[in-house]
Order: sequence, then structure tokens, then C-alpha cells
Amino acid sequence: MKLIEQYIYAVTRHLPVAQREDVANELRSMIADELEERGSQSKKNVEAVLLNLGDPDTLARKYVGAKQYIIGPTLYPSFIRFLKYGFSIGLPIAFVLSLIINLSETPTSLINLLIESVGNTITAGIQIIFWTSLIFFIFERSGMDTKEFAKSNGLWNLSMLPQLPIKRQIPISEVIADLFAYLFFIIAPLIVPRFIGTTVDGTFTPIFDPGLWGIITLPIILTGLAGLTLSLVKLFKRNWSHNLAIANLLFALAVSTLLIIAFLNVQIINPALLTILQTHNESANIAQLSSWATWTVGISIGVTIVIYLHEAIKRMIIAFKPKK
Amino acid sequence: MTYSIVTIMSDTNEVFLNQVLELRRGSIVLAIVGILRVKKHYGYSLLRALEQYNFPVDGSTLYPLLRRLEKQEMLSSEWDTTDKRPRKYYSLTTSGEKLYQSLLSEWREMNEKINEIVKEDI
Repeated sequence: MKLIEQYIYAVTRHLPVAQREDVANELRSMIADELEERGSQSKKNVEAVLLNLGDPDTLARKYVGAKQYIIGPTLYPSFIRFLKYGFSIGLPIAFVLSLIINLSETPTSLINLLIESVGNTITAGIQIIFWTSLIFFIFERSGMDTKEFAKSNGLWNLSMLPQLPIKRQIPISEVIADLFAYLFFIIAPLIVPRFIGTTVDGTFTPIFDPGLWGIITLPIILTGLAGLTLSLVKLFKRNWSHNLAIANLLFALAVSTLLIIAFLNVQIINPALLTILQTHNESANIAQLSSWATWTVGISIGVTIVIYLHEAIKRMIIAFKPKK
Repeated sequence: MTYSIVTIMSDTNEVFLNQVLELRRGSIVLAIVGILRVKKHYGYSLLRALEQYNFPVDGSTLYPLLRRLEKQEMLSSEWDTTDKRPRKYYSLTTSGEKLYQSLLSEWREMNEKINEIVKEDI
């Protein structure tokens, strides 16, 4: 009967060639036995028997004994651990490399630079996931003792047990975030005036007032350096001592004051840029645009200060809370 | 209200069924070699025999399992073409006999241990 042969074919096409004929004969004989039991070879009976045997793909997998997962439960924790290592090492390297390579090529805007680098980092992440999965997929199917393998290859051992949390510990993620933020502080003043702005008739007009920028560049870079020093101290101490928490708060206050002074005393947007905008677009309401920009910057600074001080005060509370 | 009770009951039922399946899964091989060591069987007759012992196993589970046991040299097989249709008969090998003995003793030991654990309920 055609339906039976179709079913048998659906099962055996997934099997190794050497087994196909034997399995087909056996299935044919078993189906025939079952049909005989049911009394007749009617279409209804055939359908019932085949339905009872179930999805031919599933049956074929049972015959092959194939694993239906990419990475099994024994290797899965190692796989995740491996991915974490890959990400924590690979992604920052990919990001920094991408920054350096893009910077060394053609001058581009900061936004493009960042978009490009984030894009490259995501691509690197996907590559890491793909290759790690492929390697584990091969391990899983190589028939080796996966548990022994995980043990002997350092994918898991006793030294990997996490340290018990130290009281008042500074999380490493916080230190790294700090380091990047202050590096940005130091690098941004050197990049922004060169790349962000508008080019008209071959002359480049930066968005921020170059006069202002000249005045505040040095304080910003100095602040960045101070912040960098502070985060390096955090990196080595890894613990909120009284002195460190106080230094942290004083630094936060200093940065906030600096931001407020800078904001109140200087015109943010380059007047030359505003003039260019006015000449190119007569209907533009430059006064409104300028005040809008000032408000935006002002609000961003305000929010930043509030969050920043709040964090610093929280650290003080952690440091000065009596130990239990 | 009725709906939620029904949902909870069917959820519990599923958990229950899964546990029973887990418990059965390990014992299927013991049942198969237990039957085959007495008499050789072809696939369908073994299915029937299991049913007669009130130990029904799906064909889609039994047939591939027989083949795997054969590959592991626990079972041997031969085609019998003297019947009205060719049938593949399975019988126990020496390794299969050893498997049967060790599975059986493990089964008995486990049975004792479980009985020990639940003896207050007996």
C-alpha cells in the first residue's frame, strides 16, 4: 500500500544507507502484523496504525539515537561560562580595536564612530556565540565523556567557586564603568570640537564655541584624570573605606560645581554656527533654537548631577554603616 | 473558579504522568530482556507479550529500542522467512544475559531500599 511505503520511506531516508533496507523490511513486517490483528487492510486501519507509530521524523531519530539538542545538560554550564569569558574579554577588545581602527582611517563624526564601533562589537559577539556553540556542538557529539571533559579541561574546578561577597565590596562592573566614563572625559574634549559641527563651503564650524572649549578643555581633562585616579584606587582597594567614600563624595561635589559653573558662565552653542544656520535658513528661529539647546544641556547636566550625588551619598552610607 | 480548579488538576496530572513515565523508562529494557531470555520474539509479538503482562510499550518506542540493543550486542537477530511473511526474530546474547542479571539485581536492590524507605506506609 502506497501510504505505508511513504511512511517507511519518511523514516528510513534519515537512516544510514546500510540500515535502510533492514529497517524498512522490519517496519513493513510489523505494520503488516498490526494490520492483520486489526482484521483488514482498509485505509482506515492503515491510517490508524501509522498514526499510532507517530511522526516518522521522531521515529527516525529514535532509530539513529541522535541527540535532539545542540548542547546537553552536562556541558551547558561550561558553555555558558565559556561564553561569559568570551564576552568579557572579547567584546571590550573588539570595541576598543574598532575605535582605534576607525579613528586611524578617515575622520568621521563621533556619532558615526560610536555607531560603527557598537556595530562591530555586536558582530564580534555574534561570532563568539557562533564559534563557541560550534565547538561545544562538536564536543557534545564526539562521544567523549562530557562530564570528564568538563572536569579535565578546567571548564569547571573547585577554584572556580565564587568568593563570598566581601562587605562593602566595590563591584568590578562599577570600577570598569568608571574607568570608561573618565577615559571618555579625557578623550571627548579632544575629539568633539574636531568632528561635531557643520561644514559649509569647505570650512568646518564646530557645534560648541571654540573659545569656550579652549577654556573648559583643561578643567574637563583634569577632572577626567582625577576621576581616573580615583577609579584606579577603587580598582586596587575594591572596598569602600571611610576615606575612599569621602574622597568619592568630594570628587562628585567638585564635578557638579564645575558643571554648574561652566553651564552658567558660558554660551554653549558656537555663535558662529548659529550665524551660519541663520544665513542658510532665514526662517529658523535662532534665538529659540539656542535657548532650546541651552535647556537641553541644562536639564541633562541637572539629571547627571542628581544621579551622581545620589550614588556618592549611597557609597557614604555603605562605608559608614556599622559592620554587623 | 471551576476553570482554575480544572487547570490546577490537569497540571498536577501532567507532573504525575511525567514522573510515572520517568519511572517506567528505566524498567522497559529489563522487561524486554526478561521476556526475550525465555523465548525469541519478533517486534510485534514482543509488543503483544508486553501487553499481556500489562506492561504496554509503544511500537515507536519498542522497535528502535530493539535495534539499539542489537547494536550494543545485547540482542541478536535473524530473519525467518519460513512464515507467511518474513519476520525478524530477536534473542538474548551472552552480554544480554549479563545485562539482564545486573539489571535484575539492581531492580531488586532498589525495590528493597524503596520498601525500607516507605515501610511505615506498608
